[in-house]
Amino acid sequence: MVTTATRPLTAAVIPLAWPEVVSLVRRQMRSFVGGSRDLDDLTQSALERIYRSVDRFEGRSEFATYTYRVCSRVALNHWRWYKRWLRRFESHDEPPERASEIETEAALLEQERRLRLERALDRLAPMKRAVLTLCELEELPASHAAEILGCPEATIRSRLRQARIELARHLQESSS
Amino acid sequence: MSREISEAEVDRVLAGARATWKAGIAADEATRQASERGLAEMMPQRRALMSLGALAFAAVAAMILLARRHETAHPILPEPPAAYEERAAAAPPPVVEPAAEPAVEPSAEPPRVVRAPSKSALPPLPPPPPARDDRAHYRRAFADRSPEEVFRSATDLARAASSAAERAAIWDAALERMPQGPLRAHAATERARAAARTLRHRKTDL
Repeated sequence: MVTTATRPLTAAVIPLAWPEVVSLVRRQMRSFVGGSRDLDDLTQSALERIYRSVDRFEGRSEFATYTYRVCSRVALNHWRWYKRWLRRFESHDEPPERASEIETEAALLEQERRLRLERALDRLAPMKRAVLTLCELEELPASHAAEILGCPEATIRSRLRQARIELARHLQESSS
Repeated sequence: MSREISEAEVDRVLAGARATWKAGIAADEATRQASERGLAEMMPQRRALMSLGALAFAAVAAMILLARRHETAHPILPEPPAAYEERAAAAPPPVVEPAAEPAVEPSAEPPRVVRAPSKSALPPLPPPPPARDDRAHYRRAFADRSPEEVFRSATDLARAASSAAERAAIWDAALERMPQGPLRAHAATERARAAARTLRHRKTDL
């Protein structure tokens, strides 16, 4: 993780210092991949991309939208290329967090709900998952999601409708 | 679209999913902040340790520098020969002022040049004095004596002789008056010794 980097972003259109960018990117990547063990690696990858291409940011959109776009590309790439391979060797029965961190029954139930949600999200197609994450879970407007993902707004709405139904079905299946 | 799930059901399920999602993000953020707080609390201790380490390093470095300076001022070992040579090479060469030439008063006559005489220019040595015929002298001295008296007299005379040649002449004259026997053998030995001594002296003189 580049959490301790202190390189200032000198571009006038970037209103954040590098530690704030790190926090922002981590939060955005967290919205895509949840609290999985790949969060740190994917955040690192997104920060590297931003670090290399920040000079090409022209300020035509908000900087958070730009970083969101980078995070979405990194997450989509991760889902498309690596996740299928990882799924063969990783068992999703084990909770990603240590048992010592689960102290109460409520926390245990919350952990169980989180795992069910992440498994249901994993079953979605990458683009549908990205649309659902942005528009439904992060509650961003469809126009903003379209700007982040580089798709027409109508496509976003269509995929969002399909993703909502698929996710609800997966969650009901997992609860029953 | 599945017919079993209505739009209201989808909204309800997704509302729960959204709440779970937000709770997960909040929990993750709380964990991250706690981790950063722990790091921040650890920082003063780490700074103190680093300061202690820096102080110890500075103290050791100062001690080494002081020790080296003291050794330079008061060397324990004598200066190595190489240092002497380097110092001698670095030192400027001594200035040698040319000696003042003695004032020569002008004179009409040129200075006389005294040259060593060559061997050819040496005057001839005076001729050696005529050698005394020692043998005839001692022959006359031993004329009317017995061999024992001749041997005894020759021994006394040879002991008092001034040169090996004279001793050889004494023993030569004595041998003429001695018959065969141990006295003649002894006299012959003494004569041979004196003759050899005489030859050595001549070689040395030559």
